[in-house]
Amino acid sequence: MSDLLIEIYKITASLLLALGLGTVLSSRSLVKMLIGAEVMFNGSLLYLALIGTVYPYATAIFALLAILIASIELLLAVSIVILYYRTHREPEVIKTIPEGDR
Amino acid sequence: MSLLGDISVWSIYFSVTMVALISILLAALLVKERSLVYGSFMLAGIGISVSGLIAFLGYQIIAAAQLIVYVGASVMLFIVSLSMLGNIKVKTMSIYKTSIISTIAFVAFYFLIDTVEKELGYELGPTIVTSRTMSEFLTSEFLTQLFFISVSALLALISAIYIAKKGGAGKDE
Repeated sequence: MSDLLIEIYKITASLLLALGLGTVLSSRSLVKMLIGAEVMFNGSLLYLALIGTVYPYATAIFALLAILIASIELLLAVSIVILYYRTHREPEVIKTIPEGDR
Repeated sequence: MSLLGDISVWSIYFSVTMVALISILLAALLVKERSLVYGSFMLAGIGISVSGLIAFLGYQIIAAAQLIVYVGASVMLFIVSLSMLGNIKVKTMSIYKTSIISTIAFVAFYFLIDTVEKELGYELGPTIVTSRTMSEFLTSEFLTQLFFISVSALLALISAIYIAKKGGAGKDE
């Protein structure tokens, strides 16, 4: 694989991690934070797949297990979010963002 | 290399670049998206793009698992659950602060990834992972891990059902 393609993969993985972090920090909503964490997971999975081409089978199994764990985590988080919304009727952890932070 | 070979290589370059751009664009739009339902649709789009990029690296089985298990099952359940709660909109911080945070994080992550790649000292490239060898690995060397993850998945699913069904029951009445 040429260096150009490796650079594309590296930049994409870094941008997904960075934009996921930006999404987590940009809102006080539980669901939005969860979506940001999932974007970060996608970036790290891409990075694992790129770096792990040296040991392809171990990497493939680690990636498969990571996808399974992420799916379980997402399902569990959905149930927690539904419970939070049913109890508080409010998707945000803190109701208002201070005026200076908007 | 023949002309057809050149075309094939450039088409792969073009496809990888397009898929990478789609995932980056969706992640950038997600930062300012106020609707949670549309945000989760964007997450599904990012998952599909990343599975395409993983497939281009040679991990077709992992790409299929990402599409079927992660996007097809988990993210779809997430979208359906959020749609049932209604079109919830949330407040977001200013784009200026978010872009500064994201830029700093991008530079940090890129240098981290670059340093790790240089320290590895190997030539990275596409690979071929066959399902037969992978299943042999999974059922021999990684059997314990597979067992623990399967049991954890079962326990987590039972907990999720319990939390969603029982936890808020008293408050609704």
